[in-house]
Formats: sequence, C-alpha cells, structure tokens
Amino acid sequence: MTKIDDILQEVRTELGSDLISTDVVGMDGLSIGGIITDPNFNASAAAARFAMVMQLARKVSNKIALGEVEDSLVTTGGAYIISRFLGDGSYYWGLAVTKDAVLGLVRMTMNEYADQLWDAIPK
Amino acid sequence: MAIKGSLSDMDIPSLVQYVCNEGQEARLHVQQQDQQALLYFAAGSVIHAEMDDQIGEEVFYQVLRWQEGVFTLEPAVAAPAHTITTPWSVLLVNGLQRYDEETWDNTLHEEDYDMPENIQDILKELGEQVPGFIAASVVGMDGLGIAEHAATKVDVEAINAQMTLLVKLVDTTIRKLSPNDAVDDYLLTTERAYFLVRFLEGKDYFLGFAADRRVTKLGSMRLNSRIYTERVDKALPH
Repeated sequence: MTKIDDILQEVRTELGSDLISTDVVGMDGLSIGGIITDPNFNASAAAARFAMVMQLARKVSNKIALGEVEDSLVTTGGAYIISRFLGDGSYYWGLAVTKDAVLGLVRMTMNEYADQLWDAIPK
Repeated sequence: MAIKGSLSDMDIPSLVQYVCNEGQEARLHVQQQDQQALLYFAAGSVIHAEMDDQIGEEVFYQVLRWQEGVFTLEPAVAAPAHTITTPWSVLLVNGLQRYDEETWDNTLHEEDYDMPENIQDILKELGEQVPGFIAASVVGMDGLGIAEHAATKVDVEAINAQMTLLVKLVDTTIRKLSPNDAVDDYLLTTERAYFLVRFLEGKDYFLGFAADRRVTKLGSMRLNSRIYTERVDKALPH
C-alpha cells in the first residue's frame, strides 16, 4: 500500500460510513491512489470528469479575478463532491460523501490532510 | 481534430463562449435544415461570419437564433476576411436582445414589465443579508443575466458568462456520472471569495452570488442561497 493510500485510509476512518469515494488525481484526469466504498460509483470516470471541472474552474477564476481556486463543492440530491487542489495545483484531491456527512467536518478533514497528501505524492 | 455535435446539446451562445474563452483560431460550420453558415474565430474573438452571399455581424445575429441543426468546429482554420470587430460578449447580448424584441408578446400588460425590477430588489436584499457581499446575478443558461446587483465595481457580464460555462460543465458531469441525480448547488472557493450557484426550478436559470471569504460565513451563504433562490423562482414567470 502506498503512503497516499495510507493517508486516505485515515481519512476514511475519520469520515466513517459517509465516505463514498476519494481519489488523488493528476490534472490529466488519472488517479494515483484512491478508495471506493460504493461499488456503483465510477471513480475513474469521476476522476477524469472532475479534472475537467477543476481546469475550467481555474481558468474561470483567473478570468474574473477571483484569484487561485482552492476547492470546488458540488451538492447533488445524494452527495457532496469536493475537489481540492494539492500543492502546486498539478494534482487535485476528490472526495465524495453522502448527504448524511457533516459538511463542515468534511472540509475540516480535507484541510487537515491536504498537505500530507501533497507530501506523499512521488515527485 | 474537429468537434461535431448537435445544437440541441450545445447551443450557439455556448459554442461562441467556449471558443472565445479558449482563444483559439477556429472555424464553426453550422447547418440548420438547408441553411449553412460559417463563423470564424481568432484570439478570443468572433472575427468573421458568412452565409450564402452575406457576411459580417448580421449573419452572426441570424445564426444565433438557430436552435436545431448540427455543427462542426475545426481548430486552426484561418478566416478569409475580418468583418467583425465587436467583442463576442456584446455580440451575444445584442443578438439575444434583438431576438427578445422580435418575439415580444405585445399582449403583455404593463405590470408584467416590473418583473426584472422585482428580482433586482430581491438581489439587493440578498446583498444586505450576506456579510462581505460582492455581487449577485440571475443568469440564463445562455450566460446572459436577467438581473444583477453588485456592491462594488465588477464586470458582472463577464462573470455571468464565465460562471455559466462552469455551471454547465458541472451539471453535465453529474448527469453523466449519476443519471438519476442532479446538482442542487455549486460552490467555488478561491483565495479571495466564495462563489455559490443554485439552479432555479427547471434549470433554465441560476442564482449566483459571490462574497468575500474573509468576512462571510459559508453556512449563511448556503442558507441565503436556498431562501433567495425560492424567492427569485416565484418572481420569475413560468
């Protein structure tokens, strides 16, 4: 198991049964580590599609002078999906949780582990 | 490589926004029944349009109304002429205003004209409720605002157009990943601001607003987003 997987397991422990999926993804849309708890969730498709969202978010934010993007949160009928840039922005961390999760806690957990994940990415 | 598609999946305003934002040189071939037109792009602008023996802005305005048909977007095709100098965002606003004027129902009573002002009032009230409020808009999925309110000088038109692109991509992403699910709201956190978007009923419009993240509270933004989306929704004719 890689260091990234170890850290994501810790995140899973913190978030418990609310976690649907979490991945560390390059801006090419390919995951370099992740956990899925819902077998119906297509994590590789999600990784690729949210890489596009993050790329466009970065472009849009620059064009309208809002500064660097930190994260993006989509709330759907069944889930919260948060994508957050790591380190220099060459990777992002995606995390999907059920709507039963406490959103503030999820964001806090991501704040806590983001730097560790960036440090764990082989460079 | 050329991109082909249907105007029912991606309409002309969205295509124009996309190509202009990419800043690429490209040719867009559009066909609706037996009519065909070519739009040319370079350096983030629409620079030429032609249809039969017509050229220039008037062709662009005609094509903008096409809602059915197919398109082919070919990158790296140079324009044969430079007949349009108006910025693309102005072209879109002008074109859609013309369309609205032509399709305006003359039987509407005068009180119906109050609608945009009512929504504007709601947005002003929203601005008073949100600490660090920057701006709010009600925007159609064509990227054009129908009402807006800003606390500071910001380019609301550009923000509307850019955020629509992003919101459309988020919506498509969720529909592709989970066809039975739908986007409730979307929050973009940047180093300066929170930008929150919530769809109105039917998803033809969304309410988007931004607040200074050093001052505002995220929970309050989400709560106000729910409350004011409902109010805007009620104020909009369906």
